[in-house]
Amino acid sequence: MQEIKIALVGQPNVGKSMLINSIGDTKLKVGNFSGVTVEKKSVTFSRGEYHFLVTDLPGSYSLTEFTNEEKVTKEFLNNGDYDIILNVLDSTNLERNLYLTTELLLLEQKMVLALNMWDEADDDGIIIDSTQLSKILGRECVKTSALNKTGIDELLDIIITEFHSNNNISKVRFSDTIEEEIDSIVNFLTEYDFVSDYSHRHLAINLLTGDKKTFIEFSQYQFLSELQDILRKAHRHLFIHYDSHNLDEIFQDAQIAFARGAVAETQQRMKKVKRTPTEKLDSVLMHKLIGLPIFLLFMWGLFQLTFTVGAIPMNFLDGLFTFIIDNVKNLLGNGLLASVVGDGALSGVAAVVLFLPNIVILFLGIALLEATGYMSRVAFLLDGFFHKFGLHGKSFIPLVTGFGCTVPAYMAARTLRNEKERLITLFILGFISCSARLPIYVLFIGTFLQGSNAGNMLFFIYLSGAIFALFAAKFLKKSAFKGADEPFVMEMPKYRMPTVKLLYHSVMGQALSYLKKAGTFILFASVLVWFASNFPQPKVEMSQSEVLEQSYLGRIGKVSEPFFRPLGFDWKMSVALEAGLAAKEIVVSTLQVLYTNDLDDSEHGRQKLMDNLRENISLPSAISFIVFVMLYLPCFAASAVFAREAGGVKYLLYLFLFTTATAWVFSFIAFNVTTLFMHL
Amino acid sequence: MINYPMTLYDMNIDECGTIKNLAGGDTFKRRLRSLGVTKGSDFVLKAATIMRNVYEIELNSGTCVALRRGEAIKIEVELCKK
Repeated sequence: MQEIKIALVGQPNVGKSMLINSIGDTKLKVGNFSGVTVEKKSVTFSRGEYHFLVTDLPGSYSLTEFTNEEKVTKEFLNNGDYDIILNVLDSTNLERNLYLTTELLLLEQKMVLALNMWDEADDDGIIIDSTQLSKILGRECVKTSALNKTGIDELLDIIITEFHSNNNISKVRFSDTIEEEIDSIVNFLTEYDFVSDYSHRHLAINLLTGDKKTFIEFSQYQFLSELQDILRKAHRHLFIHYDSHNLDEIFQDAQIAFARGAVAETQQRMKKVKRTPTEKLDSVLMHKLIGLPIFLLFMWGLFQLTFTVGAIPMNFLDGLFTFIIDNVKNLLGNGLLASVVGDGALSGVAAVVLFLPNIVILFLGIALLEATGYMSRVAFLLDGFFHKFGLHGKSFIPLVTGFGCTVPAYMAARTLRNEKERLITLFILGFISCSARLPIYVLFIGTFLQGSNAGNMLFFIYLSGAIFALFAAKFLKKSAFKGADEPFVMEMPKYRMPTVKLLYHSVMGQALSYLKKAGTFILFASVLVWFASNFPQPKVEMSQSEVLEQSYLGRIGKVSEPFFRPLGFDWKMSVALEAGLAAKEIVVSTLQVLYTNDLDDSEHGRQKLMDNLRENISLPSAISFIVFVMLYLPCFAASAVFAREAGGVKYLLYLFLFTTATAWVFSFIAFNVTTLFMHL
Repeated sequence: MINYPMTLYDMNIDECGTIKNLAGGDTFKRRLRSLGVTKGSDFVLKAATIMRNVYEIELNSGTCVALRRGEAIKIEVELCKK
């Protein structure tokens, strides 16, 4: 069986993924492009004697390096392992799509063009002469519709034919002035009988546009100085002719002119007579007054689905894992081995799998928002407000998700294309109080702030976390991520109905990616926490509180007590906070063990804990503790996902330093201000 | 009195115009070009947010592009005659 490696390239929202998903029996593989966090999706399938490996490259408007996605696409096309390019174009917007095509043609690779959304173009009154377009571009153009699955067989047949051909010469022609200069360099190279894998024309264009790689290649030849004289003369000619000293601009305009020319010769557009469905929907969804409330309603629905409906399978999985862990521990005899397997490894696996329902539901919602084109409208509506804090309109989605759980929230930040805005969003997400922190707030509010103010206090904590996150974003934008704003130029795609298979692949990709990457880290961390809280093993019979006190975790708590003392915390509170690094839910149970000496989670046990906390902890210490919980590092699961999404463990170290310093400073202020007020 | 050139920022909703010049950095101009926003392109200002800090234009080719106020100021335009 012969393998054909295809690089799937196209501008965003052209139905690239949908086209490849419309082929039956495809197998999806997810990963990351090496060195970056940009997701790499590969699809494999067989047809007759051929095995196809399709690398779905991130959507790129051009081969510039404006976004990470474009860098990845450019890098793959220049150095990646592929046999043929499949360029997918949106037939309803041919001119803009052909701009990328001209750049691809200049690469001189085998290429086939899929004129996708052909049916939609037909409905819009757009007629394209695909045969004529094939002649102009020198590459086969196939009419396809991913939605209706038409043209797919023909496309695959042509890919096979082109794979066996040697058609890789570019037919892109520029203005007479540029062509004149290209010819002079081509003649020069021909005179010297210069031999290369690329055509002389390709090398001439690269030399004229100042391509560094080509210059380095030429630097070893003796004729370089002669060539440089020709180039200098050519550039002077172009600068005078185009009244510009920007070679990039000159060649881009020439490429756009070629694309426009090709469209003028091959496309007919009937006059638009009625409002399109997109215009009708936009008149409501982007309305100045009701656009935002409608979006908030959608978000509320998604939030409810994620955390209310998601709680059903979560509770089931929780029960299932408790059952498995209990039985495994009983089976292994409740000794040290049982503890490491049950409380360490299996608890770690449970911690990973437990979040899966949340992630699947949330990403189904996000995939729907993106695939329908609504996400761009959201960014449009909210960007004005969020940009004031150095964020993007799309940052709203991870921030709101953060109130439920920080793990899917970190993953939701993937929708942000700009690296700085994505990193700022990731760094501040921990300040949004997730649902796991709620039991801690409820315990402390119930213990120290009884009465009708408790509800208001809880609301105040959540609200102040969100406000704090926004100001932290502003601070990061002015310090660690300072610099000029990157331009905000975003396409507003047409609304489209995604296919079930596309949604399935999108959600499946995210879920697999989470299980693979976060899972391994969380498992390791869980075993580490188990070890720290169980070792060294006591030689004599001890209470649970004493076991924890003499464990490595307890010792760390005691060692770190001086660090926490200015905040009004004793060693027990320090241990609870440190245990909370594994999971925030552990904070309350650790306090229960340390302050009541048992794990009685009943109403009586909880009342005893509250009484003991009231006796041992002052109000300023309690408020300081709430502030610290609000601002310090999220749980292990979230930290693992953060490290992966931000691009490495070094970012986790930065996050640890940033959140710990912030939490310490604000807890210190809270402790001293409350103490001062109490003495007034 | 100095006559400042008219920019996208000065236009009203539903007004149509032609792009006369693109100011700003190379990255910004390159991005605009890759979306089809080039000198000589005709467009309509379709929408703006309530505080007019984000704008949406629709080019004759059918592409709709959103830009912030900071970017809109860099796009010199001429209003359509009709």
